[in-house]
Formats: sequence, structure tokens, C-alpha cells
Amino acid sequence: MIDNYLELKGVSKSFPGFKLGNISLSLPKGYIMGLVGPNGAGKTTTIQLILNMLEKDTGEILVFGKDNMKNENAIKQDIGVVFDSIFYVDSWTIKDTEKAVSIFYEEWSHDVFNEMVKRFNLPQGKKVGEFSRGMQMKLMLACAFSHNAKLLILDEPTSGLDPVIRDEFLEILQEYIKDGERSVLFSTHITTDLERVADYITIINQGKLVYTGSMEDLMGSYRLIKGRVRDLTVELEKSIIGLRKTDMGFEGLIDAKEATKYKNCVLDTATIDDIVIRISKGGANQ
Amino acid sequence: MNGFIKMAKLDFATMKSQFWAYLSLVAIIVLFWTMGSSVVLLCTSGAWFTALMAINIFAIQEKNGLDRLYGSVSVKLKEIVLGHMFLCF
Repeated sequence: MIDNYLELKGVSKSFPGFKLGNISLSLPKGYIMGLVGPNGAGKTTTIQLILNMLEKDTGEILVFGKDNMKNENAIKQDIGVVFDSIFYVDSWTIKDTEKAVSIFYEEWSHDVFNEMVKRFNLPQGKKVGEFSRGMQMKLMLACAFSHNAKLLILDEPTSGLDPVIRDEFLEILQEYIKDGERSVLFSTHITTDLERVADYITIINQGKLVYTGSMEDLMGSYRLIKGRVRDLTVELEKSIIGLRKTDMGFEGLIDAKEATKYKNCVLDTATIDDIVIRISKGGANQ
Repeated sequence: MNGFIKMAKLDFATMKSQFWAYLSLVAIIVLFWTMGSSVVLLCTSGAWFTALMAINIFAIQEKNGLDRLYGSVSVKLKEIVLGHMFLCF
């Protein structure tokens, strides 16, 4: 039995001016993993490497326990993909889209597709290019669900969606993994979405892996520290990640283990946003 | 089903919106033929325009980001290329 639906071991890819280096992560069956990082961090590159749309330089990528290059065709039968913008021909209708996409999947279910289209209220007669962004996203999801995908890979699906549609989208994801047999890899920079649905999180910054593990561990690893400038010692300054100093005081992120050392400062729980922002700004302090 | 056949089918679906343009081309060729143009000239110009229109697949692919669709489905790069070539020729 496969425990991890997705495993990356020391994956690297170099481009002129950018290097995605030594990325390792594991996504167990039945969970949602958030892939976060600022724009240009390497999230989409990581997804493209998983889908074998780009060839890795080094490392190993296992999907459902199989090598993603050697078993590409078999693996992709069980993967559903949703990108940040639609990748169907804009002149297609829903019927055309089903006809074109279904030929690639052995387990395509016309009934499930129709049920999803009805559930998402997608207009039958309209062309895909005339759909709103929310509708386009739902159509990609309907296609992903209709071939009984075990692993859903989402590349910034909620960017540009209004809060109502985003909320609905997150509910759909939670429902999708309910049976414990499916997993989701969800790349985003809207971290509040992840706080709601993600069990695991991977943070990438400037092509480097910053953190991968459970959400609980991440939230417990860091504290937000605030204080007056006069309380900022050299030792404290060195240990703060993403330090921001103003006339009023300072603010930054600190390792939770070291937090108790600084009694004059205010310590707060850090959100994923705090962690990603501070780590992105932190540079050498990491 | 072979990946190449699947790709050819996808390419035909992609070019569906161009169907009327192809039909117009046939109508124009028939019109010139009824007006007494030479068969060789009609075949040459017909083949030329058909080839020009067939490469529209690449424009549609670029415009709609179909690379990502090809990357997400279970076909090999070789089959994608063969499918395109089949459509063009």
C-alpha cells in the first residue's frame, strides 16, 4: 500500500538566472498540502517538474510510488490538474470540452461530469472564453473530478477569485479528500486559504526549500516578536528573521524555542502570512 | 487508444471553430473551377491555403495555453508532434 501519493527527493532544476534547488517533500494519502512562497519562488516550476512538463536536473519524483518519467502515462490517468487560468480552447462549449478531454482518460465518467456541471451551475450553451474566472475554475475542477483523479494538483487556483467563490472552492476541496483516498497539492500565495484547508505545508523562497512538514509544526516553530528599539540587543537582532525596525519599535519572526529568552518583548502567534513574509525578507537570517 | 490518435482527435476538436473557413475555401475553389480555371492551379492554390490554415493550430495552442493541457494529459511529446503533423498534412 502506498502511504505517500507524492514524494520529491532532492529535486533540482536550473534556468539562466534561476535555480530551484534540492526540493524534498512528501504528501501522504488523504491530505492537502499547501505549496507557498512569493511570486517567482519556484512553485509553478515544482508543479511542472511533477507533471514532467519540465525535465529535472537531479533528484527523484515519485507519484503514487512510481517514477514520474518512467510511468508518466499511467500516473497522469490519476492526476487532475487545475492551473491559474483555463487551458481549454475558448471557442469550446462544455460539451466540446468534455468530448476533447474525455478521450485521454480510461475512467472518465460522463455522469459525474454532468453532475458536476449541474452542481457548479455551468451554462451549457456558452463558450468557455465567455465564462467568468470562477466558472472556468469550476470547469477545470469538473474535468479533474470526472476521471476519478486520486491526486489533484492546483497551481494558484484561487488567485483572482472573489471571497465567495474561494470559500466554495475550499469547501469542494475538503469534500474531495473526505474519503481519505485522495490528496491535493495546492500552490497559492493566498495563505489564509491554506490555514483553512491544509494539513501539510511546503514553503519555497527563491528556489530553496524553507520548510516542509505539518501545518501544526510550522505554526509552533515560530513566534512573532515585537518590542521597543532599546530592547533590541545584538544577540536578538541576529536571531530575528525578517526584522523590521521603525522609530516606534521593531517586529520580526523568532524561533519558538528562543522566544522565552526575551522577556521584555511581546510574543504573538505567527500566521502563515507572517512566516512567509518574514522568511522572504529575512534572507541571511534564516 | 493510441496517444497519437487521441492527439489527432484533440487537434480536430481544437480546429472545430475553423470549420467554416475551410468550407469557404472549398466553396471558392469550386467557384473558380466552374469559371474554368485550370485544375493544376486550383489544386496548387487550394493546397497552399489549406496548409496555411492548418498551421492555425499553433496560434490557437499559443492563445489558449494548450501546452498546459498537453502537459496534464497522458500523452508523450512524440505523440503531440505526430498529432500536429497529421493535422497539417
